[in-house]
Amino acid sequence: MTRKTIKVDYLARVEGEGALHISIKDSRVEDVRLEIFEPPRFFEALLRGRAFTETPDIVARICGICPVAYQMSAVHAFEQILGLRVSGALRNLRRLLYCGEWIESHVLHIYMLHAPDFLGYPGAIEMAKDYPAIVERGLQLKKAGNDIVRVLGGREIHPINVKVGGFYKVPTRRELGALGETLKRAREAAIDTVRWVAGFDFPDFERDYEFVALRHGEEYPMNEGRIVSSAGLDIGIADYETHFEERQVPHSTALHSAIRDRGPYLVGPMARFNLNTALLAPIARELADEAGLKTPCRNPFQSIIVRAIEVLHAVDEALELIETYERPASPAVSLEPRAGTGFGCTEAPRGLLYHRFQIDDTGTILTAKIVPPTSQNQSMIEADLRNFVTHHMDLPDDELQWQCEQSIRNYDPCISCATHFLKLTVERN
Amino acid sequence: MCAILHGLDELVIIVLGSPFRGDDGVGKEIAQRLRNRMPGCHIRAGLEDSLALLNAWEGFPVAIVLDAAVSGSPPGTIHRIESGDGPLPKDLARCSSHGLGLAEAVELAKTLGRLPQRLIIYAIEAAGFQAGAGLSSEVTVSAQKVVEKLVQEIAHMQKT
Repeated sequence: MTRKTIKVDYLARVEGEGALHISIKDSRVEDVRLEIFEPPRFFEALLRGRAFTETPDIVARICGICPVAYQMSAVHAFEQILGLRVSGALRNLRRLLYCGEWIESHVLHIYMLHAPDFLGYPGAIEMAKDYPAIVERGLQLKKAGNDIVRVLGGREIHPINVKVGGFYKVPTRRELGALGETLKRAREAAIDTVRWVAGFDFPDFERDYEFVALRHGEEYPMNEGRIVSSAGLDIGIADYETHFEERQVPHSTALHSAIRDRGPYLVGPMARFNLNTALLAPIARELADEAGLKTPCRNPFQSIIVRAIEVLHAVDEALELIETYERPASPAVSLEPRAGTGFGCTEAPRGLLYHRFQIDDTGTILTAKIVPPTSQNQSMIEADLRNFVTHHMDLPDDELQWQCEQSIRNYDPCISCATHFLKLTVERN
Repeated sequence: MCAILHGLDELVIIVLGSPFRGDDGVGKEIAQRLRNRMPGCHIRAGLEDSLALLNAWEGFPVAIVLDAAVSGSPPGTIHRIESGDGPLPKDLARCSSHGLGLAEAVELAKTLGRLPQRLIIYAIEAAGFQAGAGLSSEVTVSAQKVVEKLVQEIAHMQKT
């Protein structure tokens, strides 16, 4: 009997703190565990008893990389309860803000965390020594996203300008115009980025995923849509918990999600791309064709190309939103609290982000539920690893470990977002 | 290294760390006290990640970065590092669990030729990072020491 263990105590180039454990016995993968040991943060409990109007500022603190996603899912859930419809320029500004977040998050991952894997560098610094102009291009592109978030969000980190019903303050045409100049340069950089990553070598590895993403029907999904899957699921967001469940596993402070009676599924850029290709901006579709991306794309290593395509889409859409912007008369729709339960589902950079809130007639939060994309993908990451190791067992240990770490980075997991605490229910008869 | 500061306009003080996480808030505490002593200092806080450092010090000949440290030294230990001193210890100062840390951001800036002419890092060894806790007594004492050091250091840079 031979036994082999691959153990990475501290995963580099992922967001947050996690570890990987794989054991192989007699050429068979015995155990795969993506261990998440980042401490739980109790956000759902923290929100109970707070005024619903405080929520956008509180949930923005869940993540430094994707705070806008948390704000957007939350405001949509409350607006559903209050029967509000945010439309026109305010809706467009929300999309613009989301574009900013996609750009900064995706570019960070492409250039700083993921590309070194493909070019054989231990990290971005080593890569920058040989490719300074390329890394510089990544930094400038990321900054374009940061600039959008700063102008619309009020500051660069944990934005404070989002409220239920709209914004506290909306920009002038002139303020957005300044962003437009930056974005015109960013558009060229985004096109170059797609061509750059499309030239990488990709392992021959495909998986038969069930992709899950929002589908709006008229626009590439960000803030709104139905939840659809490549296996035919098509539900309203209020039915999320009927079809998806969260499970606790001993080795992780993040819950694992699954489709009831089916199992793991994949959310994120590849799911969005495969389920909404036709709704990408024409330039993004053109570059996807040029990059040779097939639909559906089932090779998770190619997610880096898909992210680059989404960056280009986001830059292009941001430019259009800025060019057509007319400052709304009021920064927000007025609102009155009323009791109810509401659901919010938006597309965070890493995938579907589900929120459910229940408030009373004074607007006090009674219950809150948040399901981030990384916990939805965690089972699939482990399944991918199990499959990858099974088919590449003959690789030398160090190479196998490298490729396993790369497999995890394919998902751009945000471990900080995913940590929950075990929920304890005591039943007394 | 020779001093190059012609006025406070040429200096930026960059604060890393969260004021809501115990001793991680030491940078903010030092910056606030320093602002009272030297009004007119440019202070930047709330960077979205370490990469934003490269933009935060852009255009400033001198940058001082303030952060908490975890190196195994006794709590309150003051680490002072200049960019010319060689690579930073990787675990000394952490801006965030996201992406790159301070040491990596400095190395990246060095590689890309985007370091300020003079970069000084003050990192105070933390006793703890408990959410909602204030500064520990050791770190509070050290914060004041760093303020005094910085007042002298900045004055010296302006004179020379």
